[in-house]
Parts: sequence; structure tokens; C-alpha cells
Amino acid sequence: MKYYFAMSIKRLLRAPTALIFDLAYPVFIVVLDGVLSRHYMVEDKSWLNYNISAVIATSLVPMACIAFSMYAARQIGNGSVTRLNYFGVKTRWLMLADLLAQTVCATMGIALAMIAGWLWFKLKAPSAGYFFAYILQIFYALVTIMVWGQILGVLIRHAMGTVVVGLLATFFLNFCSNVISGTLAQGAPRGVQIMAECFPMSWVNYKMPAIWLGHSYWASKFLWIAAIWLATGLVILWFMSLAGNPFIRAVQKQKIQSIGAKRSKAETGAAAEK
Amino acid sequence: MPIFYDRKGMDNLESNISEGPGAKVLPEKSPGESPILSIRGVKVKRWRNQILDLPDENIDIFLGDTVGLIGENGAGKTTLINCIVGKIAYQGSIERNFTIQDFGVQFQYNDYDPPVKVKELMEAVCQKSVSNPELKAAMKKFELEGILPKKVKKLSGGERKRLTLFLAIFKKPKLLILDEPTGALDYQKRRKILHTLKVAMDKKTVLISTHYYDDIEDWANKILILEKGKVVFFGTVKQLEERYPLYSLIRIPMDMREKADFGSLKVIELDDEVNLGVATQSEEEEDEFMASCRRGGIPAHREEKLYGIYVLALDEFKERAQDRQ
Repeated sequence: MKYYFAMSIKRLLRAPTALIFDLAYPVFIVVLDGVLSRHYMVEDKSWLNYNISAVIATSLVPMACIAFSMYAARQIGNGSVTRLNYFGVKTRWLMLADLLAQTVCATMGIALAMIAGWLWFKLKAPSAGYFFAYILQIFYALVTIMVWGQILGVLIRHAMGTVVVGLLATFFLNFCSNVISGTLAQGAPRGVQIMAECFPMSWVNYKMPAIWLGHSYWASKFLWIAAIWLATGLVILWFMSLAGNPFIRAVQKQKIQSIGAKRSKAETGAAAEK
Repeated sequence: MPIFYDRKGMDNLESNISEGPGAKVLPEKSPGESPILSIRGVKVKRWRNQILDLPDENIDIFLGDTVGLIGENGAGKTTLINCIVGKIAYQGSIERNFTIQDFGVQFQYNDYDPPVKVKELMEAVCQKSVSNPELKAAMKKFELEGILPKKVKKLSGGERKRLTLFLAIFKKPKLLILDEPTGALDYQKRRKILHTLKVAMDKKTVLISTHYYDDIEDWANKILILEKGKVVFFGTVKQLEERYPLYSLIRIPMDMREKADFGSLKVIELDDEVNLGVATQSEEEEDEFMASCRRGGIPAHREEKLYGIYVLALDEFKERAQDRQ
């Protein structure tokens, strides 16, 4: 696994889209938010302290839905995964390594964004307990959305296709965030609000500021909604990794058949001996 | 026994090798041994064209066989390989009695992710560091040490081919499928890599598609000849030689046709009617014809024997097809 991960993360760090979306984009959004709200203080705290979760949520969606899905689509689309399958490399390990590499890269981006906020825009970390809870839940959100970014890439299998779908997904998820906690919170119809509540990213925007500001440890509704998405996503990914290569399927099927045939032959032999 | 097929499949088999009138010729079988790969009635259609149309008799490949897969461009060699490895959909049956770990394949075009470096790819596939002595020793045979820091997209055709061959045989497969393995290699590397492959795959199974007949001349024990998706011949090299007896095939330019004295020798058009092939059956016939060429100032070149036999087989197959039409 360590060699798959090493290959994956090095390859990722050579991809311009990953560098832009994973590392530069979160810092850019923090700087933008910080500059625009630099004179706006609430209870001796800069506005960024209230808005950091929205900034992170805004960064996570394109990281997963554009950068990672594009990366995953390219691996499948250019035939390199199939080629590696024929060398005996299992798709699920490659997918897991990609997921880990992307998560590490995105975590680095978020860390850089927080450091930028702390250095330049008075972003204050909460006490250790709240900070730990916050980081843990952001990481949980990150893994959840990355799983779905990978699903998108594996399904679409075409880099440009993922950009289009990824952009649409980004707009849609940002819209959902706004429906719950932003400018659309008051006026949106109930049905739209219920739909928006089904996406974990909406809750990152809505409930996570309370953790950063030290008002609560857990965003419980986010935790279970994300759990459903994560579990469903992992199951889909598992089946996708199994369905990857028809040759491997054919050989495995035959192997199972031949084991079955041998067993039945042995059983017949044993019965005859009796 | 070998298999000979006409255009429709196998309804016109040679009486000397069939087991009675109308009998289907059976593929060679080793007693008590099941084939590692058994291909039966595989058919592939693309649009309305039947690009592969194999007969309903088994083409059985056993452990230890080295099968040379030969045929012109478009004969269906790569299509057959793609069927075996499940890359394309087909009708018919392919029985694969091996596990994934027992299997290696080198395609004509091997897709790797362009930004990956050779070193990373090697470590991921072999699950060993490139500083591992076993890996280092194996790499040396394929002259790969110098390209380790290179990105895959920067590799030349030959380097990419060597890398793929190395990765395909590193895990010591029982069955290795090679699609034109020496295509982009220079002569010396070709000889060296073929030697390495022969040593590595000794007593194992190889299916090798090639246009270089000397690649398989001393290696293959069975030959599968394809022409426009149909089987011209499948059997052992000995059976092929018995079926198409030939001492040598001499190539002369087509424009020397009028000057040459062919006598009773069989003459076949070669290379899209650019050259002629003259089949001789003995040393005396060859000497006599070569002497007549020298006298007439005709440039004559002796072809590789396997190529000569292939030309004869193909010629007979095409004649039979024309007769049928």
C-alpha cells in the first residue's frame, strides 16, 4: 500500500489542477474573505472567525468535485488503471491510495488556509478541545466529499466531463449551503430547504462556526447525515472497484467454477467410496 | 493434430490429418493434462465486419507451450489477444485455467499515467523498493536503470516496451501474452530481451504475436496462423513443416519475373506484388535456382524458413478461398 500511496501523492502533486484547487484555492478564498471583511469585527473577533467554516466548505466542494473527480477520471480514462490491473495491481488499492493522497493534499490546503488566516486576518483558534473537535469534523466532511468526488470521476471517466459536472455540483452545493444558512435561508420554499438539509456540506457551513467559536463540540445532525453519505459512497466505490476489469472478473469466475467443480467431484468420489 | 480451416471454418479438412470423412480435426492434447487456455468458436463483429471468426474446435494451449501467433496486419492477432484478456466483447468461449497472479501481458500500446515516473511505477507494481537487490538485478537485464527518474510520458517507444516487458515478467507468470514485443527495439536490445524472455519463460506458457519470424523460429513449439480473422493453421511446428514442406523460399524482385528461370518451382507473389517468392524443396533445387539468378543478374535473397512456410500456408488458404468463391 505504501508504494501505491507514494505513487499517488507524487503524481497528484505534479498535477496543476490539484495544486490549484487543493493548495492555492483555500488560501485564496481565505485571503479574499479576509481582505473584504478586514474592518468588520464581532465581539472583538475578526469576521473570518465566523466565516471560516463557510470558507472551508466553499474550498472542499471544488477540491472534491472538480480536482479529485478530474484526477480519478483521468486514471480510468487513459487506461492506466486497466494496464496496472493486468500487472496484478488491484483497483481497490489504487482507489484507496488516490483517496488518501487527495485527502492528505486537501488537508494541507486547509491547514495552509488556516495559517494564512491566523497570520494575516486575526483568525483565532479556539481552545484545544473545540479545536480538536472542529478539525476532526472538518476531516470527516473532507473524507465524505472526497469519496463522492472519486465516484463522480470513476463514473464519468472523462476529464472535461468531470469539470462540467463538478462545476454544476459546486454551484448546487453552494446553493444548498445558502438555503440553510446564507442569504436564501428565509425565502426558500420548505421543499428546497429539506433537500438542502440532506447534504453534509450545507451543515459544515451552518453548524461548524459554533464549534470554532467554542459554543458546542459536535454538529450532531451533520455527523449522521455525513455518515449516511460516507457509508453509501464507500459501498458504491467498493462495487466500482470490483467491476473494473472484465478479464479479472472472468478469471475469478472461472476459478470459482473450477473450485466448485473440484469440490463436487471430491464429494462424488467420497460418496462412491462410502 | 493440427487444425486446418477453410473460409467457413473446418468443413474441408485435409484427409491425411482428419479422423475420417467429415470429422473435425482435434487439437493436440497432452494426456491427463488440461489446457491452461482453451479457445473455442470465438467471434468478434465490429459494425458489420466479422473481424474474428475462429472455429468451434478447441484451440488448446498447454503449460509449457510457446505459441507463435502470426499473420498479416489486420489478420486478427491483436483482436484475439484482446479477447483472451477480456478487453473486448466476443461470442464463443475462452477457458482460462490460471489465476491473475499467474498471468502477464504486454500489449502493443501500453497506457500509463503520463506524470508517473518509472521508479514509482516499478515500485507500485513490484511492491519493492528500486534499491532492492532482486529488483536491481532484474532491471539490469532490461537496461532500465538509466530511465528510473524519467516520467513515463518522456519514454521512447523502445523504453516503454522494455519497461512493460519487465513489469509483465517480474512476478514470474505461468502464462505470458506478448503482442509484438520487439517492435520498437533496436537489433541488439531485441536479441538481449528475447534471450531474457526465453530464460524467464522456460517451461512456462507464452503466446507471442510477432511479424519477426526469427523471434519465434527457435522458440515456438506451436504456431497459430490467422488471416482476416480466420485460422489458417494451428498445430506444432513439426506438423506445420510436414503440412507445408519447404527447403527454402527465395525472394526476387517482381520486375525480374521475365528473366528468371523458375522451371517447375512454385512461385508466389509477395509483399503486395512487389516481390516474388520461389519455393524450393531441396538443397539442389535451391543451388540450381540461385545459380540461374546469378547468371541472369537477378538479386535473390533467402527468406527465413518459418516465413517461407507461412507464405505457403497463406497461399494455399487463399487458393482454397478462391476455389470456394
